[in-house]
Amino acid sequence: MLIRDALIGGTFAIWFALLVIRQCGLWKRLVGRRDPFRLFPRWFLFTGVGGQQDLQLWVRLRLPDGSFTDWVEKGGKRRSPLSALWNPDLLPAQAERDCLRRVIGLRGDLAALQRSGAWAVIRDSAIEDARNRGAVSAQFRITASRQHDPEFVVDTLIVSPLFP
Amino acid sequence: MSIELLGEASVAVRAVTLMIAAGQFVFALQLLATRSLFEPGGLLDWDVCLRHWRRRRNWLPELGAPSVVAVAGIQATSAGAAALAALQGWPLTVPLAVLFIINVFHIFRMPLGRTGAEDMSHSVILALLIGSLGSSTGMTFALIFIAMHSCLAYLTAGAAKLIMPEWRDGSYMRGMICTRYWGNRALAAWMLRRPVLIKACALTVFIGEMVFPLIVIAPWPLAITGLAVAAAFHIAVAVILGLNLFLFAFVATYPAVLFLNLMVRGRLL
Repeated sequence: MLIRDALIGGTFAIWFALLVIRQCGLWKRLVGRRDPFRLFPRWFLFTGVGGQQDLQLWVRLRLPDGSFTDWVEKGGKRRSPLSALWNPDLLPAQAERDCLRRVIGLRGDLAALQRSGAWAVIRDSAIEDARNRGAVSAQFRITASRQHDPEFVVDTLIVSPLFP
Repeated sequence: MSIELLGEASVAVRAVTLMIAAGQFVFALQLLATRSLFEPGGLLDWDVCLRHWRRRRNWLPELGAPSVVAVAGIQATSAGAAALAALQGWPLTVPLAVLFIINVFHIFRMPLGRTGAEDMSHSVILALLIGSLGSSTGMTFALIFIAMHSCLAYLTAGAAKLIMPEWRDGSYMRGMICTRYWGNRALAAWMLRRPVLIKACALTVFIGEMVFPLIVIAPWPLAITGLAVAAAFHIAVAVILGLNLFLFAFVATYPAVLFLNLMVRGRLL
């Protein structure tokens, strides 16, 4: 066996061992670093709350006369029915969900939220409408629902203060 | 082609590479179809990306946003080159290296929207790349790693669901099919009238995931059947949930799983 092959084998052995550690949740204690190159994914697929809920972003504007517009849903990309092999809607829909989940995760730290990329998305969703209508500020709300479940009650998760 | 040809590392590597290249090609085309996301004001514009990585906006004023169209074009071309190299038996190192670099770029350029399919594809590409740097033994190690990573992924996914009461009683699956994101109205209406079926589907999913690693030691007709069932599961997931890239990413590991099965059971040619 070439030395190269031995090094390759060792690399895979270490990589796999770290993957096992990652699944067991020992990552932070033993390694203590994040995974910037996504080499150690955690395979807890469809085990979070997010798998059972749709998240919606709603925005309303405050007009110069002090009144508010109605809450308008932003985004909410629908998936095309033929998506077995070709589904370009997957990326924007997943990105929207990730964005809203990140906002939910940061809601206790307004400063961090406003520095985040997710905040930039929220803000951008309101800017164009605000400019067109001469609004002085905006407010957003995130709700959780299940569109096809008659028993599920829409749950409001966040209502932000007015921004800016 | 006799299925036992997959006991040859070179054949298994080609099969894995072809499937992964197909997935990378579809991903690149999907990226091109959604390039407006990356333009100013889009969901994934450069400002969103920079903010996510906590960099000041004026940190890279002269570079600007990299062209996603160019990157997707290179990715599609490299995927084609990898597939051609796999078919012709040419060295795979260069196209795999390009694909790996492109995937690293995507990690940083798309802080939102990533799924497990990209993670598995990324892992398989890097494993094949590392293996291609050695002899056939290096490639054998790569195949073993890909197979074991695949088994670990299924086992972990199944075990994580097993310990959740919502999966055991079917309520998680019920919730999932009722969402706009994962389900559709007709399917939800049909299945809500059949709660026993929902529970049966849920149990099948996580039990199937947990027993997937047994394919490595199963007699090879059973192993083939198991992989066919798993592939059918991914096709169903692609059709029903829209997770098309999982089909390419995970089915790409199956030749490696079969290679490991043949090696474990001592039936290499």
